[in-house]
Amino acid sequence: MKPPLLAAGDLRVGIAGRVLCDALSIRVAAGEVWAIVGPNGAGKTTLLRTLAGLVPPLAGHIHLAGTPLASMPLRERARARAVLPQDDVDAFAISALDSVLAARHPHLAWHAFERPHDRDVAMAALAVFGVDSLAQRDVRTLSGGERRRVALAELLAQQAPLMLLDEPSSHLDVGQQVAALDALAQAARTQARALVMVLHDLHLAARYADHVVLLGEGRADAGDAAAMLDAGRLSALFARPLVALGEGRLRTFVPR
Amino acid sequence: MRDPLTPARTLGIVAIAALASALALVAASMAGSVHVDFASVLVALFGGVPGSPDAAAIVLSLRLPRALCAFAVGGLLALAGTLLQVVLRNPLADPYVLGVSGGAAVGALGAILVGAVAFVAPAAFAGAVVSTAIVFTLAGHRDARASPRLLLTGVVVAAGWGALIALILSVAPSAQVKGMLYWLIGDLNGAADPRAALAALAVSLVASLFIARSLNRLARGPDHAEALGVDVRRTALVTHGIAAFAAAAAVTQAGSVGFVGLVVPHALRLVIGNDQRVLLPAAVFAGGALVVVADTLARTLFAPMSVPVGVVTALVGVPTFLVLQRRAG
Repeated sequence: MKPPLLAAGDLRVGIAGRVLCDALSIRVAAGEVWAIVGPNGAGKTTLLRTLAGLVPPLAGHIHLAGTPLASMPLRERARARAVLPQDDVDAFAISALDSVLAARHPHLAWHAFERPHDRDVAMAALAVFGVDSLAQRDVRTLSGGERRRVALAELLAQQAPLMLLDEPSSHLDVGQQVAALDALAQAARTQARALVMVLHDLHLAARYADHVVLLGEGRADAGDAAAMLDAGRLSALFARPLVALGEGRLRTFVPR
Repeated sequence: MRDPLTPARTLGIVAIAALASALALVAASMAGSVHVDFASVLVALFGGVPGSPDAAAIVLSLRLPRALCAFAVGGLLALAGTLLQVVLRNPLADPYVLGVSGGAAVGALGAILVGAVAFVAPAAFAGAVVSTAIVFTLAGHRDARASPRLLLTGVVVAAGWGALIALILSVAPSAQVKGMLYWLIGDLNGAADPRAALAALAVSLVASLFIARSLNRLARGPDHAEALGVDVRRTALVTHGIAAFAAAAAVTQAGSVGFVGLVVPHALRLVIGNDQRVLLPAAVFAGGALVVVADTLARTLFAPMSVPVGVVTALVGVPTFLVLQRRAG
């Protein structure tokens, strides 16, 4: 049996002396979609960055496809997992195509230039999110939603099996949110990849996730989406009475 | 915007910049109180039909060595500026903002003040290195990604050097003050041996090309770079190390020639884009050519007087940059 794309055991995550969660154990297999849900300041971004290896855990272990993350060279990590940050900061002018080509970095030797194949991968990724016509545009001139879709194309073009996304739906209108997450979920299912997403929209978590991590008050609970996305649990997590609307993948939660 | 960079386009751009440098060096060899024509310069350089021995002597022992010093200084400063702007992700960064030239100036002026004229260059180099070390220690070099703190520390340390420079100028005997001022503005009078500066330039450029593509990633932030497999801390430290060494070598040769490190990379970025694999070598040749031309003007415009090259780099560079910036906008 193949090892899971991501396995974390007894994970304690913290930042600036504050413990955000303890004894978290998850196994993310190929084809799965995970959502991390919780109130502001609960540490969702820090948990995601810890899983990505960008900050070390306080305790516990993380394995990517069976290999301990701590002992993986940075370049190998970059071929095993891709990260979508919450926001992009563009200090210099760069075309959308060049910004997606940057995602090919871990696949190239230090002296190599991007090959025609890398260009094809980048253009195909831009096309997945409907922004291939913007390839030559300076990313600093794009709208927030266009920039976000270019960033999603970067994530896809890195071709890492594990994709870690911090609020992928931010800046996107409701139609673009569903189009983008449909494309990502399909990539996960058909290419043996997996998604772990920090999501604020509970309806998107219900629609796409098959597993959910609830994070808040210094603790984390992980489990099946059906069990975790429950009005009682979510009301306690967000300290606000919530009621469920709709059924199954089309349900959401609104304040009472 | 332009297409992604290819090896062919890189070679083309660098070849054009190198050609511009070569033309600037030839022009510098021709111009002066005794005019040497183009053919005589080529004869002096490459031999062939015996030319005028006087022309050959002027070119080979006076003008070309000084022009090569100017080229090395311009290349070093432009390279240091390009590296610092990328690693600090701030187009306002340059070697002098971080206090490198201030430290060098205190070293050099101190040596002039105590009459140790032979030690001006080593004292300048030591001052530049000490200043860099102070900035890194105070800003916490372990956290090489904390660029705003590094920049701010550099600016404050530079202000401290400025106060020391003012102190030295006020206590120095008036006979020494003009020499000190020339050094502060940046001056190539008396520059005769370009070998050390050229060697420093070659080493710095080659070293920086090894990390050029990693620098492209770093230009978009440390997290972005690390997520793509770049060792951010090591790359940042190597980059700062090369930039400090290059700036120290330039300042040691010519004093604090301003403006080149700040504006050459910025202007080039507007024309050829921000891919460090082409920007770094192109900046070396463009910065070199700029200072060669500026120094040639500095010693011929007001002949027989020779003004400091730093005055001319700013006078030529400022309008050029403003026009470029306006067109790009």
